[in-house]
Amino acid sequence: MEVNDLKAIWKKASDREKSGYWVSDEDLRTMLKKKSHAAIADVQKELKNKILMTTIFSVFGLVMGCFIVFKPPADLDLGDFVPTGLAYGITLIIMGVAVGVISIHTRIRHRQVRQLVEAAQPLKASLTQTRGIFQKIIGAGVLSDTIVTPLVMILIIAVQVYNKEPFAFDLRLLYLLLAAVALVYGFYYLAKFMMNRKFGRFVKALDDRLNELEAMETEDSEII
Amino acid sequence: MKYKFDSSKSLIEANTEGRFVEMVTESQGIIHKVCNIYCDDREHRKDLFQEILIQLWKSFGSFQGKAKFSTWMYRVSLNVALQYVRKERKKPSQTHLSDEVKNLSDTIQDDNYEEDLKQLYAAISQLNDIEKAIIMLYLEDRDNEEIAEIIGISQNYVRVRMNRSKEKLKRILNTQ
Repeated sequence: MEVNDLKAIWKKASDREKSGYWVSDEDLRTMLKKKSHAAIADVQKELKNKILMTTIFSVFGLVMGCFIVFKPPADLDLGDFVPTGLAYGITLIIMGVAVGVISIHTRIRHRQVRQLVEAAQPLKASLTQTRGIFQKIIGAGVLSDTIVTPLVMILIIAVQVYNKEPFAFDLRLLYLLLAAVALVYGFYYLAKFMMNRKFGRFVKALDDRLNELEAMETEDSEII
Repeated sequence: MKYKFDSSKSLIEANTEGRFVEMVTESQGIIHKVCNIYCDDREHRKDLFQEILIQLWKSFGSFQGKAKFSTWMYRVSLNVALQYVRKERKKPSQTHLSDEVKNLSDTIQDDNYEEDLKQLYAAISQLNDIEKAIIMLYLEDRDNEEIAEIIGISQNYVRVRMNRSKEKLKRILNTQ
């Protein structure tokens, strides 16, 4: 078979497909209502969940921190769960602000992904941008999981350990710091492992395709 | 075609969906071909068909009529195919579709299908993913300008790469 014969075979296949395997309007509409299982749809879902969680944490931290710092009304009973004291109040506000920054950052990434999904870019630009955005999302995801979860856990431990004398300079502070270091390391590796498990195959596929394109251009530029 | 919706926004959306489905129905051969080129089993082809369709719908707003509808469709379809990484299914899809969809792109498994076509698909399957895209567009009689627009590389690269891919395909066909 010669390469020139291929077009005729291809044409025949196209005509045959048209007569035998055409999907109806109704089925196309049904398919449109289904959810995408693509990696990019998964990442959008994950970013949405993260926006929700970080917004809740941020608002909680800021509101509780402000209540503690600026004295809540006398009849407001916060119970044993939320300790009082300026240091805790300030810590909660700092935590709220930090998580709020992560929330805003996640919103920006979510918007970028949506714009990428809605744009119909040429192959090379699309692959490059998708890889870039995914690398940033994975990096930011690892960073936020490394910071936010240990921060919240340390705060809870601090409340339990210190209770009425927040962050006093004694041996407990050393334990707290050691716990913080261990948690940060633990969550860093855990977040990295989870991100690679979720998106590692997709990023590798993108890399492979981009490498194919780049290798082609390098080979071809020698001829041109 | 009649739609019953409460607000004018829904009516606009319904009209857009109607127009989209009409246009895609007419040119769905493009999706079938991309699925056949990039997937080697029936389930995989069905999944990819659906992913391409969803992505076409999501980016339909970006189609402004500057390029041909088919060029835009090729661009989106190839983007999805090249970024598609199949996941293990935990449970089968519960959606009920007609027999047409159940048999979707089952062309390769058909015993009576032309030997030449099998040979062609077998040869194309040995190309890398980018070469597959270029050869498919060549077989579709797309000119270098359009291929360059779809892939996002210069026409010079397309010309050189096209010749190389054809040579490679010829070698594969001769060894078959």
